[in-house]
Amino acid sequence: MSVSLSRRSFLGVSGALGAMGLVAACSSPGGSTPGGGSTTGGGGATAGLLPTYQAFEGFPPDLGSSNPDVSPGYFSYPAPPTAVTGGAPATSGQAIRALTFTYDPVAPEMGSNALWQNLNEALGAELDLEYTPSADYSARFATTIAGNDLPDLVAVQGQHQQMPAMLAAKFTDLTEHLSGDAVLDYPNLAALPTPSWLGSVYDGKIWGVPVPRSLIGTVLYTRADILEEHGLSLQPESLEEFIEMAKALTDERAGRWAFGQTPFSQMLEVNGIANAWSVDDSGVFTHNGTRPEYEQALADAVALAEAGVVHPDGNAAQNTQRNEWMMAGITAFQIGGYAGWPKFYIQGASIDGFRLTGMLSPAREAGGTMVRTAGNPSSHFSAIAKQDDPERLLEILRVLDWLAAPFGSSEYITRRFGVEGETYNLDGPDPVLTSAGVNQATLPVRYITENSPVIWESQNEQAVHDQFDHQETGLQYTIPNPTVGLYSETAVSNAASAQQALSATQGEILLGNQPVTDWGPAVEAYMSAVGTTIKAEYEEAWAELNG
Amino acid sequence: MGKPNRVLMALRGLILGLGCAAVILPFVAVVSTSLATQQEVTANGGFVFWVREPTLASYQAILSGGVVTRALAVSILITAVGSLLSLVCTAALAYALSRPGSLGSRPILLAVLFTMLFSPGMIPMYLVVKQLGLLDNLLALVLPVLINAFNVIVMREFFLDIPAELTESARIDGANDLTILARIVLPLSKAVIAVIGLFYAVGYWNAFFSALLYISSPEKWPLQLVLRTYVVNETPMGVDDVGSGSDSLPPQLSIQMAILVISIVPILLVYPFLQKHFTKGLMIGAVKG
Repeated sequence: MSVSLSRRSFLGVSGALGAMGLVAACSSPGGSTPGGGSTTGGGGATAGLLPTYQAFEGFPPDLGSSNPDVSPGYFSYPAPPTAVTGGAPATSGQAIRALTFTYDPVAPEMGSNALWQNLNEALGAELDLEYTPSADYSARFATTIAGNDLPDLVAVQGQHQQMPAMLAAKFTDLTEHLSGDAVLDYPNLAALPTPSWLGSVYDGKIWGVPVPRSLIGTVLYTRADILEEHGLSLQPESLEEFIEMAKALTDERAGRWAFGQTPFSQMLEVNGIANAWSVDDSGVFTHNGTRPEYEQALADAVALAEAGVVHPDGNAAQNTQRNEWMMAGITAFQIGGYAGWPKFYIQGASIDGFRLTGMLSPAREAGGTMVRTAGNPSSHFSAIAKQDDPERLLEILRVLDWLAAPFGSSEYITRRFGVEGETYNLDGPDPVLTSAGVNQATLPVRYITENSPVIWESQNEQAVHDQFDHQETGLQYTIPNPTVGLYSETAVSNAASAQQALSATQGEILLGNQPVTDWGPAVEAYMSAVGTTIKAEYEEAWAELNG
Repeated sequence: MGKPNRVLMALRGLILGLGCAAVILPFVAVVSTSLATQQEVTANGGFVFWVREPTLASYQAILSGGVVTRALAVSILITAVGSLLSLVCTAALAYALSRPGSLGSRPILLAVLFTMLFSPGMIPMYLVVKQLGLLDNLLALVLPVLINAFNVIVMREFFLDIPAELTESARIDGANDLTILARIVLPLSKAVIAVIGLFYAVGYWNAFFSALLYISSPEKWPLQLVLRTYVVNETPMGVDDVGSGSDSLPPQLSIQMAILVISIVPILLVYPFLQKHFTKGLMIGAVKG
C-alpha cells in the first residue's frame, strides 16, 4: 500500500511523546511540519496542487517494486553514467547563494575543493554555500530571517510559529512553476516522490523543493549473523516469540543483552499503535496516548526491561555507544534512523560473517495485524527568497532541477563524487572516493535538494537485498499519519511545556521509577492543557480537506 | 613534632591516589580511544582503556584537508587578539571607574552593572552586528563580547585596593592617568590581569555560537565550530557515500575523542604558565580588610 504522510504535523505533536519510545520510532532524519496558516497542507485537498509525479525510467534498477514507496535497489552504479540535463542550468553568471545545514564535517573551502569547483563549472555559476551543523541550524535560520538578508535558497527545517505568514513575507510562491504538470518543465523535480512535496505546502501553495527521504523511517537494526548463530528466526511472529528471542540472546554473565535500549516504539507497534494520532472515517481524531493499547505498550516495555534483556546502561547511553555495542555483539539490536544503515557496513567490514537486517515489530498474537509507523517523506525543503527578476527565479529552479538529477546520471557523480582521478576513482562501474574526496564530498549540496532515495551498496549485493526486502515488507504495514498536511498553531506554539511533562512521565515509567498507572493522569493533563485544542484544530483542518 | 602516623599517611595517599585516578583515568581512556582502530573499538564495545595498536588515523582524518588546521589558526588569532583587546579595554574601564571623581563614573558603573542583569538576546545582537557591517567578519567574534562586566568589577576592586599614596605621589611627579595606569597600576596587577586574561582567553577559545550566527564562510570558522560538525554528527559517511574499498574511515568514537584532545590541549598548555597567578588572583576581593 502506498502511504502519503508528512512527518511534520506528526512530529509537532510527537514531541510530547518524546523520550524513548514513539519519538525514537518516528523522528528519523529531519523533522518538520507542513500545514498552512490555518489548515492546508497535503492530503486530498492538495491533489491538484502537488507536482505531477513522473518517474525517471532511464536507469532500470536491479531490484524494483510495484510499491512506489520502496526505493529501487542497485548492485552497481549504472554504466555508463549519462547526462540527464541539457548542460549548465545557470546562464546569468550570477552566483547562487544557498543556506542549509549538514550532518557531516565541514568541507574544505572552494579554493581547495576540486569537487566544489567542478560543481560550479557544471552549474554554470558559483554555488555560494553557507551552512551550519544541523543541530544548530534553527538559531541561524531565525537570525537570517530576522536580519532580512536572505540568500537565494534557504533550507526550511521543521515548523515555526506563524509559518505561513513568514513564508509569504520572505519567500517566493512556487505554485505556478511546480504545481501539477508545470513541474514537468523540471523533469528531475517531477521525479521526486509525491509525499515528499507535502512538507513544502502551506495555505494551498508550494513554497519550496523538498529533500526527499525514504518512508521506511526508523529501523530495528538486527545483527542477523548473531541471531542465525543462535538458531533464531529473523522475524518473530508474535510478542511471545519476540520476548523468547530476546531472552535467548541475553546472557548477563557473558555481558550480552538483546537490546541497547528499551524497544518501546516496537511495543507500541506490537499493540497496534502507529503515529501519535489516529482518525476515524468521520474525522474524529484520537491522541494515541489516550488509548488503552498505549498503556499496555508501556507495561510491555517495562516488563521487557525487567526481564533483563536491555543493557543496564542502555537508556542513559548515547547512540554512538549503542551502535558500538551492537557492532561488538554486546547487543543484537539497535534502534535508529534508516539513513544510518550504510554506515554499519563500514564498521562491520572487519567482522566475520557480519550481516545486518531490519526486524519488523510482530503482531501481539501470531497471525494478527502488524502495523508500522512511517518515516518522514522529506528531511526539509529549500525555499527561494523573493526574486525581482522572473528570469532569475527560473534559473534557480533549473539549478534545483540539476541538483535533483537521479542516481545513475553523470550529474549525480559530479555532485557526490567530483572529479575522476582526483576526488574519486572507478572500481568497475562504481565510483570510489579518494581520501581527498572523502573530505571534499562533505560539501552539503545534498541538503539543498537531491534525487529520490535509492539503495546502493557497492559490491555488496546481500546488503542491497536486505535493505530492499526490509522496505518491501515493512512498507506494506505502514499506517499513514492522519495529521499529514494539517496544521495546528497550538501544537507549534504552545505545546512545549505540556509535551515535556508528558515525555518526562513516559521516561520515568520506562525507567521503572513510576508505575504504569501514572500514564493515564499524565496524558489526561496533557489533553486538558493543549491536547484537546490540538485535536480540535486537526479535526477542523481535516474536515476542510476532506469535506 | 611527633612522628607521622603511617596508617594516616597511607590513607591520605590512598585517597589522593583515588582522586588523581578519577581525573587521569578518563583522560587516558579518551586519549587511548582516539588512537584506537575500528577493530579495537568494536572489540571493546566503545571506549578503549589501553590501546594495543595505536594509530593516528583519527587525527589524520581530522587534520587532512586543512580545514581543522586553518580553524586552529583562526581560533588562536581570535583568542590572542581578543584577549589582548579585552584586557586593554577592561583595564582602561576598570581604572577609570576606580578613580574617584572620574567624569560620569557613577552612571557608567551602573550601566556596566545593568548589562549583568539583562542579556540582549540572540536576534537583537545579530541585528546590531549586521548594522555594524560585521557579518562574516572575524571582528564579530570579538567586539560584541569585548568587555565583560563581571571582569570589570573584579579588576576595579583590585585597582581600588592599590594604595592611593602610590598614584598620588606619581601624580605629584607629573604623571598623567595613562602613565599611572601603565607604569604603576598595571605592573602591580599582574595577578588579576593573568586571571582575567585566562577568563577571556577560555571564553574566546570555546566560543562557537557567535561564529555560527555571524560567520557564513566556513573557512573563517574557529576550531570549536569546525569540531562541532564532527561531534554533533552521529552518522558518519557510509558505503553509499564513499564507495566500497575507499580508504577505510576511522571509527566515529575515535574521531570524537581525537577532537576532544585537539580542542583541550592548547588551552591546557597555557594554563601552567598562568597557574602561579591563578590562585592569588582568584582570592582577590574574597577578603576585604
